[in-house]
Amino acid sequence: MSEIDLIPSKYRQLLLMRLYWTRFIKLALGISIIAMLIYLVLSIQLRELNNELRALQREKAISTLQRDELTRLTAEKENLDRQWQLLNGLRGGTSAQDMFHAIDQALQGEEVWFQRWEFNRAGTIVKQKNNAVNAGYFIVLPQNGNNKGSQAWQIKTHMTISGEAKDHAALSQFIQRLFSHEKIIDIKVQSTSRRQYEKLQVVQFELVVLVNNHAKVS
Amino acid sequence: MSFLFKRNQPKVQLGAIGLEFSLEQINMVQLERISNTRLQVRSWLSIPYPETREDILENPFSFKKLINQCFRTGNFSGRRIVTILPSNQQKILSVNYQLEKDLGDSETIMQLMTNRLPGKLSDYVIDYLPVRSSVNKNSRHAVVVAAPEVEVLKYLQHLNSAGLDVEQLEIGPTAIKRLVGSLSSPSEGLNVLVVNFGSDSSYVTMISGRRLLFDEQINFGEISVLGQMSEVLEMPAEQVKELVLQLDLTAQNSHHDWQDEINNTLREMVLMLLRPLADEVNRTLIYAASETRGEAVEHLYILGSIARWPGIQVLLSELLGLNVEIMPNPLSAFNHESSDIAQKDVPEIAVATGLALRGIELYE
Repeated sequence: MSEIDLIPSKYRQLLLMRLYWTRFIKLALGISIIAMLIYLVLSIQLRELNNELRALQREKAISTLQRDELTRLTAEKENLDRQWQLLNGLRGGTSAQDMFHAIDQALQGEEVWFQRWEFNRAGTIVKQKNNAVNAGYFIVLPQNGNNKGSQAWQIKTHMTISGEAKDHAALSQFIQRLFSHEKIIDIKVQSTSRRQYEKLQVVQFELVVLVNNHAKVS
Repeated sequence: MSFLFKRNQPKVQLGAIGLEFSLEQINMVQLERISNTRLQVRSWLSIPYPETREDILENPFSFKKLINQCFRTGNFSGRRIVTILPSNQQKILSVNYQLEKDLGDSETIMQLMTNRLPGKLSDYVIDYLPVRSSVNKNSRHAVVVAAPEVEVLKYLQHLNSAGLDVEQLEIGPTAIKRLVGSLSSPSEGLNVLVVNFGSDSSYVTMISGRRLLFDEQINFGEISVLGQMSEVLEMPAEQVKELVLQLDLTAQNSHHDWQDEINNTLREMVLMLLRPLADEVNRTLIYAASETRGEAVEHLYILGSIARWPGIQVLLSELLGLNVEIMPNPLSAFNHESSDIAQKDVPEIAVATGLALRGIELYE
């Protein structure tokens, strides 16, 4: 059954529109509030993450510094080790006294006599060889802190002997005796020549005696 | 755990609140139906205005204040209402019309109203209630309501500003018709005449069964009756009203002769002043008889201001030769938590109760 209703249709439409707008505004407001809350939560989380990241970066920076310091110290240690080995090499090996003793044993009679005697212990830079680090002759020197293509110091001990022998046979026997000594690696005859004195003819010679630095001191 | 208990609670169907701004008070009624049983009154009130109705309806602040006071006082639920315009802001007409060719009821009624309403038709909100079609299919009858759109929108805006959602804006006679229908048993197809007395004018409503047959405003009101009595008695109208309300117009053989004499004087005077009303009612009865094909009017209910005068129904019965009764307590047809409601005489909430009935129909 129909009923009387004096509410104008345009008023109902107005109310309906107002209702829709109110709902829309409430919805938009709700979404905005939720978005703001999410933004706030995410901002807080982001800030916390940034703080953690910064802390990690600080820790990483510290560990990098420590690593650099360790590398530096390692390099310094290696350098000092090399210097120590060099110094030790230069200091160690066969002493001059031992050499005198070895030469003295090789001398027999008065057939060979010395005019000049030099005992040298010196390092020379040579190309690095494999497994030469602890060979005793070589001390590896890094180039620019890097071992690639490095060179090594070769410690050599040698004697340069200038003297005269009665004849070549005496010289030869002297060399043979000296060569048989365990501390002698090699003997190079640099030069021999005859020298005539008024009553005596002698052989003047110059020898280089290479000494084994690893040979134990007797 | 509370949700477990809620399941066992009976289902309550709440109706929209019936709200009426009558001449002297605001009336509100809300009904509810619990678990599909009989209707029950949830809350009702009738509060006299702190100032005149016009002042309240003009002032949004006073309007809102009064509404808030009502909601604080009564145990109402929700803000949905069914209401009517104040009687002075609408015009109710009973219209007979011939349906013209190619025109519907609406268009024909609009054409008729063009001649009956001052100003432009577009300035009004118009609605109508078809009453019946006679044997001649083109002869129609309708109750037509017209109200200035400005007044309607202003009233709706006031209600909206006060936080009320207006579900329907209807008219008093339909509310009365609905109430009368609920007071009588459904099997009764009674013809009932209702006279609602106002201060300046009154309304005569003819109801046949569930149909509103006729509604007419007549120039008969309490103020004019009291005015004429005060002139004759040479007393202020307020004192005359007090006197009328204190005395029983039908009382005879009281303890004092002077009291009988006053009663008789007043009785004769009121009888004389009621004659214009009786003439109007008789005309309505003749019209009703023609509309109901000779069926008699079984009840004539009166309500409103003059209906409160003691013994007035007896005087009207004498004048009309009909069984005139004061409108039964509108709330007596419903259950109520307080048992004394049936004893309360609150005929002024009849319209609000009829509106509340519509309020619950809307959600069923």
